[in-house]
Amino acid sequence: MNSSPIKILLIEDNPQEARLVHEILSESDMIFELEHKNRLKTGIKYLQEVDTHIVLLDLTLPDGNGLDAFVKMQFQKLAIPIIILTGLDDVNVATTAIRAGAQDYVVKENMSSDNLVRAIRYAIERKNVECALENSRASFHSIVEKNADGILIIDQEGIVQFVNPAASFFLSRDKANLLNQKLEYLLDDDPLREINIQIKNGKGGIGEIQRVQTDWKGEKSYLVTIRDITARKELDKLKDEFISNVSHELRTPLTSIRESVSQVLDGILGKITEKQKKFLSVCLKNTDRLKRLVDNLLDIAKIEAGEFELKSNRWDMAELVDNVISSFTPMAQNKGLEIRSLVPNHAINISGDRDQIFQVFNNLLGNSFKFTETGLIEITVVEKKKWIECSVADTGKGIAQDELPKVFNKFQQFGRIDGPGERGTGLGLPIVKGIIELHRGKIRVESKANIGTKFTFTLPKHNGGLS
Amino acid sequence: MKKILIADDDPDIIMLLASRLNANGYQVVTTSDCSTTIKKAYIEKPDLIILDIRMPSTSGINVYESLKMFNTTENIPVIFITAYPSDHIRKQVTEMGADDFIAKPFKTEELLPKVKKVLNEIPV
Repeated sequence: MNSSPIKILLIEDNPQEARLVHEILSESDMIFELEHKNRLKTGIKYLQEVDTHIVLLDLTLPDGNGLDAFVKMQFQKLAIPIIILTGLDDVNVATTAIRAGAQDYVVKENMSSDNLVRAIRYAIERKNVECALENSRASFHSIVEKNADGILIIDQEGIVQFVNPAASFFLSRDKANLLNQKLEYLLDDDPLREINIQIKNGKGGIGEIQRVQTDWKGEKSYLVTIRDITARKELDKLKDEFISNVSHELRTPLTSIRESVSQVLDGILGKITEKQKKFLSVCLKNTDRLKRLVDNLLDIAKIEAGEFELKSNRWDMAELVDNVISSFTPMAQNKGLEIRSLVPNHAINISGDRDQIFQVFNNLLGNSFKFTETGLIEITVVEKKKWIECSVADTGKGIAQDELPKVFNKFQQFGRIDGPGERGTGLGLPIVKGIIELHRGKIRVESKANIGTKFTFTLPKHNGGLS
Repeated sequence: MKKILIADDDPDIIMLLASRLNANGYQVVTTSDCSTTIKKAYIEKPDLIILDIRMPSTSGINVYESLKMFNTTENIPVIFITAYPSDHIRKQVTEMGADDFIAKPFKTEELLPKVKKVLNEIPV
């Protein structure tokens, strides 16, 4: 026990016995402060005013006898451990008092330094444990009973062992009507799914069920939670509709513009001059740029809204890189650049959306080509234990150090060069990052001015899990 | 001369598609809403219908299902066209058995081969 003194209150009407207690305690090595009161009333008053560790209580006091006295103390709810001091003839009463919540009793006739000090130390210790247990029980109770999520424990047959108020509300059945009842549908194969539930005002809503294995009173059981996701579902629907509407409203006029210009350019409506052709080509090129921007904006909107769907299957990264290289080879030849890949010479299985990862390479290589005038563009694939690491490196003009952290931000374009080829939308890299993160991968960039830039991303190997 | 029915609620798109298809030697009939699409298809018996998905009153998808209910129209190929080319819609129309799918804004290089393919004018 710690070295600060143990504050003891002795409530004892017999001055001789009080003196005895003091003497016995003084013989021990315990550091203590003893306060003595000779009436229950003054004792309780003292406890209310002064911080006290333990009470030594005589059962026969002038203003309260035996158990009555103890019960009175309990009523005060002082949460201080109590040791009953009792005579040999009172032992029965003392045991009753213990059942009612006293920590211990000491028979006055047998009182020694040893047994009194031990009783005090144990009593304080026991009270602490009791308090901790009670606190923990109360916390558990309030967490479970007040939880907005429905919580059920079912055994392996689906019989309800425990149910909290939220679960009972969602299932619109009261507790008595659920306990010991069989809810087989909670044992369905898919541990995460949606069910119809009751929500506020008795309306119907959607609940997400999650089931995990647990132990309940020593038996293998399931902990089932039901979460009200009605609002989230409604919001998802609104987001979907918004994205669909925006897409429709932007693409429809673009279609008319593009097709009108394109038909005049194609000569369907009669001959046009070279100069007219040149101007209309500018119009067409920029319409296409606007279309790319709309596509990219919708991709970003979907990624940010969590609506971007990956079509996941298993494929070989080495084969994909080969494809990427062949599709960029003509462009490299045109620009006089070398393009090559460094890939292990066996299949590297990836679970993911092949088209989207192709898009990632497409965007990264597109950037490399834009900013590299001489030298080399290289794709490297390195196989790690659980991950594969891909990089796209170039010998281009590089990105300034202070701009590096911003490359994945939307509409950040660095060192933009106006020249032939497609103009950027400022969304290529944010989309790349979004796609990689949807695959639970990571992406980083290193760059040195006039030496080059290297983007490196990781992807989990097959069955690495997709969101 | 092969006959193509264009069903779209946007008159600009109708005009432009008609112009493009005319220029490539097709006869074109048009309609701008769902209810007349089925009637027009029944009377005109086109070789192909280019059907917009989002139209007022009902969806092109419903029109497609109605077309498949009548002997006269059930075998007419349908190419869907939409300004909201989501994966979901793409999947839905493919599963329904539509002949092809075009996203707006479309390019001529994309439109004409699809039309020709559905009309069996180029070997697949």
